[in-house]
Amino acid sequence: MAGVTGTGTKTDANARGGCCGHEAAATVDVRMKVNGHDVTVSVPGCERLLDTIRERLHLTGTKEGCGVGECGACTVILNGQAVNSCLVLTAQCDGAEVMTVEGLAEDGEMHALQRAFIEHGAVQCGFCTPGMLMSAKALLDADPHPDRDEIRQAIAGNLCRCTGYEQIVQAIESVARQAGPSEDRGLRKDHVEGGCESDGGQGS
Amino acid sequence: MIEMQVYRPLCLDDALRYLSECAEAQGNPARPIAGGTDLIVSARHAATAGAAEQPAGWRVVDISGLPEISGICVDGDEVCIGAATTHTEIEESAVIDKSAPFLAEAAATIGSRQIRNRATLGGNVMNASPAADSLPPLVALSATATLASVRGRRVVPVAELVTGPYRTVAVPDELLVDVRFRALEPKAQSAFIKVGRRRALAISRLAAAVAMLFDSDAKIVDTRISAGAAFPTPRRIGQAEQVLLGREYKAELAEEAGREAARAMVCATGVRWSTEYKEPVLAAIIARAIRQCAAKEGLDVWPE
Repeated sequence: MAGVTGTGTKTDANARGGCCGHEAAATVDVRMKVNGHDVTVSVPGCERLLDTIRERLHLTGTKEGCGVGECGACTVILNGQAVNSCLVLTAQCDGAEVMTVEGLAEDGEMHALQRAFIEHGAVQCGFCTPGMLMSAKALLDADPHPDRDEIRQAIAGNLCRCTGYEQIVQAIESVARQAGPSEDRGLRKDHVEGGCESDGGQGS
Repeated sequence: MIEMQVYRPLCLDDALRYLSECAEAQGNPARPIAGGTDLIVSARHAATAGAAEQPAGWRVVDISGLPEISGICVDGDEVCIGAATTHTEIEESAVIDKSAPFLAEAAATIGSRQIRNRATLGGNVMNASPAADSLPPLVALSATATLASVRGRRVVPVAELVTGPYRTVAVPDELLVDVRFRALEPKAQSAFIKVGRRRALAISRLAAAVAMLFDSDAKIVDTRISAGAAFPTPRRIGQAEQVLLGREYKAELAEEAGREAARAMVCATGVRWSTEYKEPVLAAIIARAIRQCAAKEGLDVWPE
């Protein structure tokens, strides 16, 4: 378990908050890619990714509901995985890739999930919708052909008080059906097991 | 949110040095953050509670993704799970599915997908909530925890690591780096059952973790029984195990072991406001978990 003890270059060390200096900073510099764009922010240590997204980057599609990870309104995709942005410190996101609901549309065209939500009446008050979309996107990215139960599991952390969920599940199912043949099914679980000494973690 | 100074170490040694420096200075030890799913909620509460004795700000050291403490591997005859391994990784791990399926089942019941993608095994263990879902299977596996500091390492059984609700034997400069256990016998069966107020995103009201090994004559040759949110500290329930050990399996034995487990809980906690509910429910879920194991072995049918 002694493992990797690479100390990195001096520049890396400084970027990570001063490996050698041992100065824990009240303000930290963070470089991230948000919806494909490089951004650099200097934030207080306690700033949540949610606040950075909404207040600094003015991407207000991401909503704050409960602020404690119960409702999923603040869901974004961080390094390929759905997370509650209210429970992530921006300081933990150096080098990370973030996708918010604003990153779904391409060239002014709505994402298939967005169209499906509208067509299936899966949007009522709309407050949960950005989070629902991001949970659904993360699911379909990992597995383009989820079954109904997998869809329900994927959105179990996203509360909706309007729709009763049925239309949302149907909307996601309709996109899964459009996703072409399902020969890659099962690949999802074949991820590499990290050894103790290799990087088996998710990074970030 | 309470103010935070965030230290971002490049490697484990660096994190341990920082923990040590903070432990020596001014009574404001550093708090490790990985997934943040407990710590950030506490930071919110600390800010609103405005407790006078609280230091003005927290020192936080970000251990998420440190390669030395991330990932799952087989190390000799032990399975080793790095403290910064997420519940999603445990849930989807082929190694865990083979060596301790009930631990994967427990990981899959924690929080939501979003929580499991961030929250780590180390956080679940060290937060030491009585309702921590990883603790019953870990205790049933007789898992050990490795605590590291600049002074060296020590290995503590998980059952002794937790000394009470939200309390552990770890001192402020120590960091949990991994959890280790011997894989269950390949022929062993295991089951995890959780009772929450709803099916997703629920804190356990009670949980049961059971592993069973039967011989070819349906005799129970090994059993490990543990419960969550039932005892002041996580432990195996020897009284219930004794009911089963060496006997030929029948469903009535499972029911008897369940009642014995519930009796042990009431003995340990006394009769409390929740006992009227918890006593029959713990008896039922322990019995069901045993019956599930037997059903997987072809000795019982569950669900009935």
